[in-house]
This record gives sequence, structure tokens and C-alpha cells, in this order.
Amino acid sequence: MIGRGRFFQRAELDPKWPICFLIIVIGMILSIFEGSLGLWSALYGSTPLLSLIFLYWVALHHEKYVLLITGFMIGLTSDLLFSDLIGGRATIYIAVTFAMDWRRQKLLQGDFRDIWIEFSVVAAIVVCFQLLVFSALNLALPSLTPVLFQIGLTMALFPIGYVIMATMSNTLQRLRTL
Amino acid sequence: MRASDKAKIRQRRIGHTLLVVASFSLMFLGKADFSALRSARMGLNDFIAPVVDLLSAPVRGVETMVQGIRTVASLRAENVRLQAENAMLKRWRRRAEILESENRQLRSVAGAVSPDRRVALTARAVTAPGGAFAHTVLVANGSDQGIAAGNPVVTADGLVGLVVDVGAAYSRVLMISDINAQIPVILASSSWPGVTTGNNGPFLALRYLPEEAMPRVGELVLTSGHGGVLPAGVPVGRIDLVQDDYVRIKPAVDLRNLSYVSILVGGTDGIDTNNLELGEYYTPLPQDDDSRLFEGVNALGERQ
Repeated sequence: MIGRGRFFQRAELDPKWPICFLIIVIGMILSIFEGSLGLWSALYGSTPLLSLIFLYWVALHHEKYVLLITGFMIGLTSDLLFSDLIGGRATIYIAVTFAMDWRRQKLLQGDFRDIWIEFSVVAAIVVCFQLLVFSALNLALPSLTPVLFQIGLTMALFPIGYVIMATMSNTLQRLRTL
Repeated sequence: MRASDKAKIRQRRIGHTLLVVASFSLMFLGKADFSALRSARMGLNDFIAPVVDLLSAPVRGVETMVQGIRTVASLRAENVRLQAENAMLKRWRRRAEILESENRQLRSVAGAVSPDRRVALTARAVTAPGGAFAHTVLVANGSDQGIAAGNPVVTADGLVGLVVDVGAAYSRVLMISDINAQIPVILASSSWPGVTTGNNGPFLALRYLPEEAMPRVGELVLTSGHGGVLPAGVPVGRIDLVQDDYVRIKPAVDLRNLSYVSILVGGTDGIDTNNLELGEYYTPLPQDDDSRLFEGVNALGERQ
């Protein structure tokens, strides 16, 4: 019986994979949209990191759907389309998913303010890492105003993104239970 | 903790490490400028660019709407400004016609041949710089339309940048504001040469000006044509600030509002990055005892 059970378990489609794939696709679309926001003259050269907000939220609340390559794929899409540094954002997004593995429990026990503060630190680290690698490889420091504006805007947009994603997630959950 | 859980954690850590190593390798390979990686990147861009274009549509719509509202609000002031500009342009046109005729006569006397054989190809900007670390845009024309790396990109106002990567249907343009863009220029009124460099911000810096040069705020800066990649005489910007040795330039083109650009095809064969050898694309200047690197003619026609 045990042998038959294993055989049929293998034949079943694991429902986790389509959702994991969907998360990667949504993240990639968000990073493309992020770049498209640059067409808006107010956000020229310093668009908010929407893909980071998404990745952070998913890694916090739905960690079982975050694969190893999720951060890598989302970051790489952004790098390929809008960056001079292929792999820069991919590297730091992998680090973010890794860091979330051991910060998750503590954050979930705290309130929203803790999550926001920690996200702000993460956003600053993501941009500073890119700045550091960029400066080291180009031996030049870019203009810092757009960098600071990008960090600030990402921090400011986090609560809005968080509420939108939480609402969508709750709605989907309700639809599934109907 | 069970042994299987420990093994899973170990596997995840190894996976993370491998991915970080892969990303770091990509960074260095990208910086090493391997042609295979460039081709792969442009191939992927050709594939993703239509999606980018589709996702940009709502943003572009909102931007157009905002601009429309602004225009309506300032319609009267705009009309007065345009009338004044029109009167000034008419005066300039008359002056340009006189100068063109004079120029033609002088060329025929000197036997000079116009070196510029470029054809302008209009292309739509699909993206805009999204981050602070690269000022590049994707434009919807590629090698299928005859575009090659090194082709200058301009608008009616002046220089935007030059094509650095070419795919079949899309090309990547390095803007003059990018940290890697260095444009050989001259000061329009005194012909002193220099080089503009971007810093991924809204302004450019003017460097390598000779000590004798006296840059003035408001002075026009044009491409010099040195190096043969860019045509001479294309406006790059105007001097915005002079502070000791630091000269800041405001680009002639509003790089934040790029919808359509002209790519100047032909004239040069573009830059073959696969076969770039030292000395093939530029000739070192003769080492004279004079400390000046370049020679120029000032607005009065005197050689300096």
C-alpha cells in the first residue's frame, strides 16, 4: 500500500508550483512597470522599487511560494531592461529573500510599524548595495539626489502597496473558500 | 529539528550561495563587455520590449493627460511666449539663409566637401531611465532598419546620445547624461574644445577645457565632431554654472520628456565592438610644443 501511495503522490500535480510561477511572473511584470514609470517626468531616473515591495510582502506572508530563484528572476528582469549592471539587483534581491527567512518570525510577531521600519532599512540597503557595486565597477559616483529620492519614494509607497496586496490576498482567499 | 529539515535548510543555503555567485559572475561578465552577453541581452530586449511598450501605455496616457492640463492652464502665457519665439525664429531664419549662402560660396572656393551623409530615422522611445544607475532608453528601431552601434541620436533641440546596443527591432541608446557618456564638444562662441561627462543626474559636467578658455553662463556647447562618431555642430546644451574649475551644462534636450527621437544612420559605419582595435577609430593628435590639445577657430574666424 505504501508503495502505491507514493506512486500516486508523484503523479499528482503539486498546486504550489503554479502559484510560485505566478509570483515570479507578477514580480517580473512589476519590475517592467517600474521601469515604465520612468516615462513620467516626475519620476525620471528614480522610480520606486515596486518589485521590492512585492517581494518583501510575499516573502513575509507567503514564504512557501517564494522559490530560490524568485528574487533572482525579478532582479534580473529589472537589470536586463533598465540597468547597466546585469546581476546587481538580482544579487541583492536573493539576499533579501535569504534575510527574510530568519527575520520573518520576529516581524510577524510585531506590529506594522516594525515591518515598515525593517522594510525601509532593506530598501536603503538594496539601493546602497547597487550604488556601492556601481561605483566600484565604474570608479565614479553617480548623482546622489535620484538615489535618495528612490529610497524615500519606495519607503513612502510601502504602506499603500502593503494594503493593496493584503486586500487582494484576502479577497482571493475568500473566493477560494466559497 | 528533524534531520530532513536540516538537510532542506542546508540545500536552501547552498542554493542561495550558488545564485549569489551566479549573479556576481553576471555582473563582472556584463562589465567585461562580452559580445555574446550583449547579443543575448539585446535578443531578450527584443522579446521583452513589446511587453514594456504595452505596460508603458497607461503611464504614457497619464503623462499626456497631465501635460494637457498644464498646457490648458497656461494657454494664454504660452501663446505670448510662442509669438515672441516665432518672431525671433523668423529673424534667425533670415540670418541662417544668408549664412548658408555664404557658406556654400566659401565651400565652393575652398573645394571642401560636406562629410555628413547621414539619414535621419525617426524612432519611438519605449522606455525611460528607471533607476539612478543607468541612463539608457530603448527605441523601437533596430538593425532591420539599418541602425548600427555608434549612430548618433538627436531631437530637434539637440543631442540625446548614441546607440550602444542593437537588436533586430529595438536599440539601446546611451544618453548624454549617463555616467559612461563622454562627448567631445566645443564652446560655440570661442571654439575651445572640451569633453562633457554625465553623472546620471539632470546636468552634465564640462571637463578638459584649456586653461585659456573663459566659459560663460548661457554659452552654447556643440559637438566638435572629434573622433568621427558624432557629427559636428549638434547642440549639446548651455552652460548653466561656472564655479572655479567646475562647469555645469544643462542639456539642450529635455531628456525627461522623450517621445520620439531621430537616429542619424550612415555617415559612419557604426562601431564594430567585436573588432575594436586601438588606433582604428581615432588618431592621436601630434605632440606639439604647444600645450593645447586641439586647435579651433573662434567666432571672429581667428585661429587659436
